[in-house]
Amino acid sequence: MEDYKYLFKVVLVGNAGVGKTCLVRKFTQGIFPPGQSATIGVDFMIKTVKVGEDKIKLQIWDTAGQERFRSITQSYYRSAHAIVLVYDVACQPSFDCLPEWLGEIEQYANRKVLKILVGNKVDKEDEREVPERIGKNFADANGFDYFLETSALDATNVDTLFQEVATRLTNDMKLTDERFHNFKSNENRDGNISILDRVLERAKCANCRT
Amino acid sequence: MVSEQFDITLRHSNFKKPTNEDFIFNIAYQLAEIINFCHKNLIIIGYLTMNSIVLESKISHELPSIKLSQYGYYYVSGNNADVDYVIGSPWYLSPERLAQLNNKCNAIYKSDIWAFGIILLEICLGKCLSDIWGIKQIISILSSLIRKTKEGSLLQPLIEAIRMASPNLQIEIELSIVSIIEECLQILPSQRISARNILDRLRILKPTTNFEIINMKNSCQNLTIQELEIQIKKSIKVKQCYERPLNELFFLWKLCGSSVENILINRGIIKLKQPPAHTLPFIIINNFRMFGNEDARKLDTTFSIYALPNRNLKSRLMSVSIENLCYSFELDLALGKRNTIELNSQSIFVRERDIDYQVLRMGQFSKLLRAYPYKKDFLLLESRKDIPPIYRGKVWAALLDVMDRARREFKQIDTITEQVSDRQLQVDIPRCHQYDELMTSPAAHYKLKILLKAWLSSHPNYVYWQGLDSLTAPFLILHFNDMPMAFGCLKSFVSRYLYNFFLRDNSAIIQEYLAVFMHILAFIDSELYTHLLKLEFRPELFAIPWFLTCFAHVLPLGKLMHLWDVLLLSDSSFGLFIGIAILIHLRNQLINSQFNDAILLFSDLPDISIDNILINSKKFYQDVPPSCTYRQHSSKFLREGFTPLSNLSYEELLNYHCPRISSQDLNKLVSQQLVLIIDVRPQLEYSVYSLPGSLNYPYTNYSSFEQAIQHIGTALETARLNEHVICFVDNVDLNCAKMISKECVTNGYNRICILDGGIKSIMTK
Repeated sequence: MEDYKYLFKVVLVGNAGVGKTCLVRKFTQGIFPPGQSATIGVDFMIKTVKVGEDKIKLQIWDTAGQERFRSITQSYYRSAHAIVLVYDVACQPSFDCLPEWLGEIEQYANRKVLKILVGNKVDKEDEREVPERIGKNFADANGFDYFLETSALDATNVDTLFQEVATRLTNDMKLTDERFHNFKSNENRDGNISILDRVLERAKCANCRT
Repeated sequence: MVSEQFDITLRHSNFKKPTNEDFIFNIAYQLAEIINFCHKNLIIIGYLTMNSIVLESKISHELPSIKLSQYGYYYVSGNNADVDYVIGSPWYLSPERLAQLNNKCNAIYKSDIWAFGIILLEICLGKCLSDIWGIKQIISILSSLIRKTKEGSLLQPLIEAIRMASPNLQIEIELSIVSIIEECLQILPSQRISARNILDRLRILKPTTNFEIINMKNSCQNLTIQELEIQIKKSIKVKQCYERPLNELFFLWKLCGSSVENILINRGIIKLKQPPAHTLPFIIINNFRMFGNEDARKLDTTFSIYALPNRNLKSRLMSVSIENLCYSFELDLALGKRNTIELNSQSIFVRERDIDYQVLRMGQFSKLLRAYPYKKDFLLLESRKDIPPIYRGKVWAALLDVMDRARREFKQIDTITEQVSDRQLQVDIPRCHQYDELMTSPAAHYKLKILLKAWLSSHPNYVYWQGLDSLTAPFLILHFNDMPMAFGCLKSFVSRYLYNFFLRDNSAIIQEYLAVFMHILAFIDSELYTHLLKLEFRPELFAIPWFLTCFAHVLPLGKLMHLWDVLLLSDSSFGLFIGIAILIHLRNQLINSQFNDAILLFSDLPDISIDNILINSKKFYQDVPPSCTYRQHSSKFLREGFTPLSNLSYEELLNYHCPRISSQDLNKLVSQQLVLIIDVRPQLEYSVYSLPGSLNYPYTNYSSFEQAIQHIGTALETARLNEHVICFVDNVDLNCAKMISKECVTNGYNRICILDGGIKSIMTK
């Protein structure tokens, strides 16, 4: 039973070969595995980060990129707190598929899920096919909460990415907690516990599963 | 390149002396046969010199029989494409190769004929061209002669040049041979004679010589049975009977602890450039593309031959018992020895390094494979013990019943045209089993792509799923130089063990598989099943890569080979039990873990002992009644006497917390007295018809398990202690059986199952 304040489920999606697994491995294990085999179904990694004084546990779901696995991966979106959509800046087709992925996210993920767009493999600067500006514009136009370019090979922005995910989720959660507490203290004055109250309580427990 | 070697090459033999006609014809005929054989097998020799012809028998023999060594250099180097030096000897280079000496210097079949002509000439002269001229000289002489002569044969100009260079040399060549050499030394390849035609010519020229007999000197064809017996007895005494193919001997040689690389490095034959830091490039960009300092990293190769020491192997083989050296199934049968499966208790990894054991096994399997398919029963029986690594590829092909049809099919498949999956293959192949040296080679990448494309285009109903690459790799490795065979194996394997797994929409197949998998887990280990269920740790989260690739994506190749050795001897349900065995292997960790720990455990599958997994999966495979593994989507590759169940949808399957069993399998258990049958129908119905020996405990929506335990608890406990199967019998809807079985599983009772189809399935029989 480790002590941590929150546990968040982060799901990585995006075309095959854009470097999802490498991003996760670089972040959780500090290694860049060359010749990393394809992910089938889903792969998991867990890492605890610090946001301010709080320990935050990130449960990272690294999903299969190949289109065929989508019928399986759809169920993984459920109860995700954040979704990181990854494309390869040196591979235009992986960028062109983003609308499809967005469709999936909208269909299967929680409406309020944190959405992050990541352009990976910036180390391949001379093979770049998607300019940073284009990625940024896409993120802005499609309601992403955050956009970032990374490289799992040279570690550019890898920690930043996950730190940002953790910080944003923590802040959101704290806000909800506060509201809940205020609400609860208001409610408790007349000694009733509403159904909403219970639901919120349960949601909190689920999130802080120990 | 490791090959068989003989001490004496034609060059070093004293070939000057017996240049009589028969000797020349004999060598010419044998060499032409060799070249013809290579060419028929699409091999250009490229490097053909006096040095590469070795004498099998002592030179004192009037007509020695020869062998060709070093014939594979040009072929394995991708016809000179993979190396940046010329594979060929200057004295034997044909005009078309000389013309592009500074470029690629590619050889063609006819280049070998030129070299043949030169060799023949050298034999007739009793002197090698290299004794007359140095490298630069020969190249300039040949070049100028060719330029002068332009077309026709170069023989006469060459002889004149030789006369000028060494006036003392007597040149007397018989006319018939001159005519052949002349045709070999035609400047234009198109006018040069082919190996086949040389053979024909030789036969016409010397009809009296029976060439074939030469190769049969050692054969025992003309011996009487008695003589043969004497010979065998003699050879057994001196252990001469152990004449084995080179691949077996080289395998044993390595088992003796020798390594070619180390020997060559220690003897200074391969020089490691010192210090390694000096070989680093100046700059590396992108995918490890290196620039600068190329020379230091260049691979220097020589065409010399080094004899590998084999004293260790020889003395080791002397200590191997004669029974192991010359095993005979027939003798064993005749002596009344029963061929029992006495399982060697040593780990498979130890057995594979045991020289005595491997000598025995290689001998046995090479015999069985030669007798295939007639001795298939024997082969199966022996394979159950283990499969010697050196024959694994062939044994697998035999077990998979790969037919020539599949191999022929491969040759007719278009693997060039672009397919939809090409882009995905391009992403996946460079990252498939990359810890394995062979799999990192460009040749492996190329071949894997061809295999996958061939398989996909021969199965239009299937599509490429990631993981198919991992699945194909073992067959590629085992049949690296026989792609049609690798293809045949893959095809047969998928049709047996992964039937319909690669459909565009495979969800029905996968879902059913995972549901049945969980049912069997409940049957074998209800506590673990309940725990995983409670964690919501569903098989969809961890088991898809297992079953979609038959574990090829999650296990390193070394372990996978051993796993498949056993899988291939079992039916299509065996994969389920491997999965269960892995769960049981990790049981202690799983049972104490929460969701997060559990998922981590599977994302990097720990180093599992494959011996343990195999023992357990075989045990479960034997213990669980076959019909419990029934899947409506499975292939037809099932155990003998397998009985199907009624088909249920995925949603229905999810309502079960234990497997179903067929009435036939239940009958079997009853006759062996290995089952407790609890009939949960109302008492009235039970009294009308029931299974003999069954208990009746009516269970309904309103029953509580605590109450039930009071009535049937003792029976359940006894069954648990005796490890008996507990089978619930219900009406056809099975609702009550489902409820009580779920309670039993939750309360930790193993071996729970439900009679499929209810009591009716028995009554109708």
